[in-house]
Amino acid sequence: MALVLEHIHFASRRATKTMLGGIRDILRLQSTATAQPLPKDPRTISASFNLEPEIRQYICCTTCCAIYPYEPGNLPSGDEGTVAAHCSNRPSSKPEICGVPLWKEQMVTGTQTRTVPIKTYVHQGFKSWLGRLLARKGVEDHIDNCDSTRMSDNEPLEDIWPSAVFRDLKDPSGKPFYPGPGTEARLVFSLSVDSFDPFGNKTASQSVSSTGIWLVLLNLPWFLRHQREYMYLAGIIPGPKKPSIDELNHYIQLVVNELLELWDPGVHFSRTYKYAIGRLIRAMLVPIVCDMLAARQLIGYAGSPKSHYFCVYCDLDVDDINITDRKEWPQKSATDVRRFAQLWRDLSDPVQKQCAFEAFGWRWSPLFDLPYFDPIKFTVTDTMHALHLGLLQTHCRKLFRIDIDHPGGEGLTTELPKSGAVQPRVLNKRCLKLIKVNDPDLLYRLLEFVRRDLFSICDHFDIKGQGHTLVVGTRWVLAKNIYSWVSVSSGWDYVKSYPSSASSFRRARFL
Amino acid sequence: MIDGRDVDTDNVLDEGGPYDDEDEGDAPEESEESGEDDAVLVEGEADSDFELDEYDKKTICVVRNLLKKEGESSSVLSSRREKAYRQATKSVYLTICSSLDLPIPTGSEKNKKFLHQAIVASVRRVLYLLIWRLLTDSLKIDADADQHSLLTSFLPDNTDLTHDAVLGKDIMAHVWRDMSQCRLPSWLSPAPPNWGTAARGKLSADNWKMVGTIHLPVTLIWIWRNEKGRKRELLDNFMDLVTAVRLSNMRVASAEQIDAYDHHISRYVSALGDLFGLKSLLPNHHGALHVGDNLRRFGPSQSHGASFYERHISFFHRINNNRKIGESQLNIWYLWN
Repeated sequence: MALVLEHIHFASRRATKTMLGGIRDILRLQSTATAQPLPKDPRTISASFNLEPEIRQYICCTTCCAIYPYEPGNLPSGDEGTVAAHCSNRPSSKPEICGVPLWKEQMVTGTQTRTVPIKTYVHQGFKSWLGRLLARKGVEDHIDNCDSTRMSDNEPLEDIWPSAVFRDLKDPSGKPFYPGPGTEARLVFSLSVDSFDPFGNKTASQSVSSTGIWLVLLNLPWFLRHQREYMYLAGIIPGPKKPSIDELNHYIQLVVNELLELWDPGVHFSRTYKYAIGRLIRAMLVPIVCDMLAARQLIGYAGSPKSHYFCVYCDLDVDDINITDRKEWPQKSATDVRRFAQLWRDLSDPVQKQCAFEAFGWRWSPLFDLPYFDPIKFTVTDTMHALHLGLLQTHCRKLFRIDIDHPGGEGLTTELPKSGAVQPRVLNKRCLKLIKVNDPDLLYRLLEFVRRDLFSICDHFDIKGQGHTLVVGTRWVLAKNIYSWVSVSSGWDYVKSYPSSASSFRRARFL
Repeated sequence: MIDGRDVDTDNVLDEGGPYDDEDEGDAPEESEESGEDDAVLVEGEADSDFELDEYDKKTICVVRNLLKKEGESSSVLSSRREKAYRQATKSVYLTICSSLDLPIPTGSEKNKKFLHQAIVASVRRVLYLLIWRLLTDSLKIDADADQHSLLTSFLPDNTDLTHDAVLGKDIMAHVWRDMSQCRLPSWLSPAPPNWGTAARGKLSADNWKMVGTIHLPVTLIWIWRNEKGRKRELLDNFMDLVTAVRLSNMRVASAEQIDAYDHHISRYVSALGDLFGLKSLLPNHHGALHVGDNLRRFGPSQSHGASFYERHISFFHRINNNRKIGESQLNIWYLWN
């Protein structure tokens, strides 16, 4: 009865305790014998039914969002020596260690105080969640029967499984990922991250925001996969501010660590609903399903869609935004992106880090730890945000414009549009000299210049990427084109001299 | 502004060729309006030393009468336009059409009356486009500030244009009335009845979807059904967007459907610059061009849609957290599973 009250009607623990005490008293009036075995504390029964999710707690730094494992009852180092008293993380944007206190004194009674963590983050164990899911009746039938067959390429797609990306997924041994051999189960998850105001949408100004991290099991049919009881909620990052830029990484790392184990070697669950002797489970994380801002932060790409690096899918610079011909868009390469991200991670100096970021537009994200992860293919533009809000709203409000005080016209404006194209400017002498000297580090040294300098050079010497009729691309693309143009015209082997290490970049920056 | 040295309008009028007799005689009395105005827009031709032949003179005269002058009332304008209509021949109109890049109609629509309407409908827009092309580098005119303001002053009805929203009072009234008479299937929730007013405020993504794919097309297609000029282009362009949005929201994704999406969204995005003078596209426009690739990769959008977590966020909103952050974390877990 206490169990029902607590878990179905969500009575507070104190209320159930009072109720238990009341029943005990009533029973004691009747006879002493039956009252004795009644427990006093409802926690006993909850624990014996094993209903609560397995969770791990972390203390998080209030400034840099770094997290430290924490068990209730731990005290700052000294007593048990398990948790640091101050944050020892070194944020990527600062040269020094954060050093913010993680604990505060809390008044318990009038004079007594105790030390408590300032902010905690609660993370749900992924494996225990999965174990419970697999113990449910019917779940395994869905998991093992995803239909990824497709008669022809022209057959309409009805779900994500027969899609091109899903059919190309490979397991660590290079065989198709789904279905797995023997009794092995293969799962595919999608990752979603979104911020919300924990105090409800009552006020328009979003001053406080928490961030939730979800995984959705795509093996389930579409009507089940987004139900709360089938989704894995990794945790809610407490507010009041969103974790900025790479601070989110600390939390994603927890999820990634568990996913890594599920990728290779996989996790053997000792018993599931269908397999009493247990089965091996492997899992992948494929689509990133978020709104554009969160997705960019998640994969470590430049945050703002108005920055030079405005597109996740192609290597077009924001100055080239008016180019609508798909053939002119330079492709991003996943291996290059991974290399840029590693470069950023391996640099230790915040100034260098910032330079590397500005040159390539990428920061490290824990998702790159997953060997199969492809940030370009796996990121999904959310149609709801992009099309409904982005285009229809813009069209009605900015292009058509709504004016309920005047009769309708033809939507002309007096604000004369300016040309969006960048005009080439005088060639940068330093840059020209560099090209003339043709140092082996040329490629990386070129990245020191702003995009407009590189654009002017490309425009002047008519340097274009292969198969392009216009000078397009981000700094990296332009620098690469100049570099290959210089090397080819001076008879060098472009591929051989392609420097690829962080040290080369470091040298280039501070020669 | 330069005056004088005009071609003598009345002279041209007298010498003009035989009028086209296709229209029924609803021409009003000749309004005695002389041509001694500052016809800025044809100043180039009038100023030049070329010998203009009669045909050219007549064309200029017609053009001048078609254009609106500064501070002119609409009744005077319409009488001048009628005068132009009487002066012009079909071939003059065809010349104007081709020099303004207007589509030349075919078949039965290729009559004088129709051409006249088409030109009048597009006069403002053509002028507008011409001048902004002059000012931007597409024509490579390096205008300094003075020239810039001079050119800007040539734009017709400067004051009027600030209130030239497409969805004006009358259109919105139409839209709202149609909405109130429209019965939707039960699984669609209509946009708020007074959308677009300040009182209503922001609309959700779903509201915009309804506005864009149902309410606006229903009304605009009806009220613009006979438009030929700019409004027709606006409608065609808007319908490209609507089609693209609908294609991207379907429950299944086939190859032809995605190709159609790409076709419509490309046409929509490419036309924005000319139609609205958008100086540069927005990141969302570019992003929309990639949506087709995503559909190809992952199948229909509902299988990877992100709207589901809005639902779960409303679940978090219902949890009472006593306005404290980070302390009631544990409670979420009891409630979640």
